[in-house]
Parts: sequence; structure tokens; C-alpha cells
Amino acid sequence: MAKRVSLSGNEAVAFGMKQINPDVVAAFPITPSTEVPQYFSQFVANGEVDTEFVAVESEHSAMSACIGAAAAGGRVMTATASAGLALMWEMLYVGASMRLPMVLAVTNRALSGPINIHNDHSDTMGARDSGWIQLYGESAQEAYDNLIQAIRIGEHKDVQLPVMVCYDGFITSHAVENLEMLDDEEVKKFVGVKREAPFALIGQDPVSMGPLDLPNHYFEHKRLQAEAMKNAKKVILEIAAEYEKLTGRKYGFFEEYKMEDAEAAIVVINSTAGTAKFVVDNLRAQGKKVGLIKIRVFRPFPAEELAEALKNVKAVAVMDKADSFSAAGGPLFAEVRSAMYGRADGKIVTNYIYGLGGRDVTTTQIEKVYADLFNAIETGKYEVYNYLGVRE
Amino acid sequence: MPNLKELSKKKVRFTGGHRMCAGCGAPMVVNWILKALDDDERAVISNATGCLEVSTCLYPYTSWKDSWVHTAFENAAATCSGTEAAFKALKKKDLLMESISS
Repeated sequence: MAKRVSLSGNEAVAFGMKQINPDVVAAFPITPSTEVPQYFSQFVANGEVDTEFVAVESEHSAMSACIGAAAAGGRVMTATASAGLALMWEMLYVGASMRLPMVLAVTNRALSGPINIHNDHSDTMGARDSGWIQLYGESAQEAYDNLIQAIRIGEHKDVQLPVMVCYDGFITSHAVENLEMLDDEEVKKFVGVKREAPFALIGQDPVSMGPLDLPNHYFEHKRLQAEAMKNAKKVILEIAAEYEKLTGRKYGFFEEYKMEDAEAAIVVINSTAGTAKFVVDNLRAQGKKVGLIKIRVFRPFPAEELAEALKNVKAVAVMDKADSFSAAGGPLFAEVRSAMYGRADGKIVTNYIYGLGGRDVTTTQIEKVYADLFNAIETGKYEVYNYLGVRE
Repeated sequence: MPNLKELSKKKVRFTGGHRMCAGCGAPMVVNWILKALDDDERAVISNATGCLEVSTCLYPYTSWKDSWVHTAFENAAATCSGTEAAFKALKKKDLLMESISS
């Protein structure tokens, strides 16, 4: 039987890790992720898990040790944020290309510089092309649910890829929320006892991993890696369906909120969706046809499905809590607009960069976005690239 | 401690056919280091990026008869620390295959 608990996002993730009982956790602390390895190391010290905890000297070493452990055939988890993720960068690509399932909990925090400990998505958005699956969650509940599912998604035989479970630093990581946790036995049964590693350093036969891969083979290996990411789309939905049977909580590539007859919609990631849903409810009460799409799966990117979900809107604003400094919009905007091209043409599509470095995102600001969209629909005049809540 | 004559009779764990230059000392050093293992033992070797690494494991060939892993330039020890941790955990959970005991 599931139990109701009140936990912070980091606590929910740490308790989720305890229930998963991975073979190895190698981690280095960084705000606002620190509590995850801190709580987990206490579980290790108290003998509440069988995990080997490797206290490393940097996030680069944390990810290197995770790769070594996953290559050995172990089930591996870690956590980080911001500059910690940046220091892992080289190894993120190595782990993904070695096709090693691992689960990395990322409490999203602004990337230096200037140094800032608060939430935006510049860290994981920067790592979007590293070959990792990326799941995003609005709340502690979703961070917990994504964490449990991530184990199964990454380890699936058609996928064999590492997974990032992302949730907003401080807003989600430190705020205490009510959520429903599964029983230890239910989690154990859902994730299985042992990771099925097709090849492992500590396996039946010796194996060499991480060879020099020259022009005659490298391309084929990258092509296979791309295919695994495609396969992940099907697997993510299969695992979500299985998880729904267990919990009653439904997960997909994204959540559609009041989209049925929406004329103006926003696309958003993580905790801001909660603020925006409040605004949607208020505007709906005033008779305005507004809706919201909250992205859960950013890698693999659900391009066709998003275009389908947006085919009946008149205008859509894509919200980016990260700037890619491309002078052509944020990363989510570029991908959503590209997904719509040829599938949902003739729409007004705008971009709002918002909340950088933890700048508060208010309901007034979200109301302004919807007002801008309706004004664009009425007048045909609008700015494509916008910054929300900044002094200029 | 065995003498050189006895060591030369031990199992060869590093085969020829690799791309190291003729006369290079590194393959010979590897060969002798690996003789520290007992013949019935299995090793996991962690190798930093470098001449030895790129010349001894070019896909789809390998000169290493034991398990071997390469990830990057600066982190052979960190990588190996993870492998060791996984070994300890799998052993503790009794999940190691029967062929691997120590």
C-alpha cells in the first residue's frame, strides 16, 4: 500500500534511491543537490541499503566512477546540479556513448557565471545533446515518480542509455510537499533486483570497453546510439503505463492542461507549470480559452506528439528558463517551433526567456504572456523573442 | 617471490598484434605487471587515454585477455574506483556469477 508523506523534493529523491537500493552511488555535493547524497550516505552508514557509496573529489570523478560501476554491471545512481553537471560534461558523453544505464538526479540550478545558486534550466539544457534521456518534473511527487521509472527506462534492452531526472532547485528540491510514496516492496518489484547488463566488465567473459573507434566504425556506433534514443520513446510510454497501473498516476511525454479547445497556449518545463496552471484556471473562469503543455520528456524530444497537441491553437508561447545565446530564441522554443513546422503550420509561435538565476516568476507575468498571445491573435502584431520579468 | 624463469611460465594476458611500435617498452611492461596476478585470477584493467590505450584496443580488436576499460584521459583511477565499488556491492548482494569469486 502506498503511503502519504510530507517531504522536500530532495528527500523524496533520496528516499526513492533508498527504495531502489542501487549497487553504487558515487557523488560530490553541490547546492541545491547536496541533501540527496547527504541523506543517502546516512542510509549507507546506517546499513539501511546495500549500496557502496564512493565519496569522490569532484563531479568529474563522480561520473567517472559511475561509468566504471555501470560498466562493471552494477545499478548506479548519483546526483548533482549546475557547475557540478558542467564538470561532468566530458563524462556525460562517454557514459551515454558506452550505452551505460545510470540515473542522475539533477536539481536544476543556474550555470555560472556569474555564480548563482538559484533555479533555472541552463545546466540540463546545456547537456541536452549529451545523449542522456531527460525527464523533468513539476513537483516532489513527479521527481520521485520519474526517478523510479528512470531505472526501468534506461535499463531496457532496446534503450541502454543513462537518464537525468530533473527538478527545480530550491523551488522543488527544498519545499516540503505532500506526496504518495510506494512501499519498499512495490519499488523493489517494479525495478527488479538485478540490472540485466548485456556486457559487463565483471561478467561471464572478459570484455574490453571504450575502444579507439576510427572512421570505419564510429559513425555506425553513433547511429546505433541515435536509434536507442528513438526506441526510448516507446519504452518511456510502456513503463509509464505499467507505473500507472501500480500508482494510478498517469505519465506521458508531456502533460496537457485544459488544451481541448485552447486558442492560446504556453509550453513550459518544471515548477513554473504549477504557477501557470493557476493562471489558466483564473483565465478560464473569465471565459478565456487558454491551455498549457508541460514537457516531461525533453530527450527524446516528442516532436510529432507536440505538433499534434498544438494543431488547434491559434497562438503558442514557448517558455525557456535558459538562454542559449543563439540570438534566435531559447532551446525549448527552437525545438517546439521546429516540431510544428510542416505539421502545425500557420500558428503564432513566440518565445519568452524567463526566471534566469532564480528570478521570481509571478502569476502577473504569466497573465501578461496570455494577454500578449490574445493581442497577437487579434492584431497579427507581435514580437517573436521576448524576455519576461527583466529590467531593461 | 618467483624468479624471472618462473614468471615467464605464467599465463600471457596481453597478446601480440597490437599497434604499439616495434621496440616499444610499454607492452613488455604491461606483460610483466600482469604476471602479478595468479593464473586463476581475473582482472579488470583501467587504462587512461594515451598511446598504450589507443594502440591496444582499436575497435573491433583488443589485445587484452582480461576485462579492460577506457573512459578518458584524466580519470583511470576514478573509473576503476567505481568498478571496484560495483564488485563489492554485487558480492555483498550475492549477485556475482559463480565464475567470479574474489
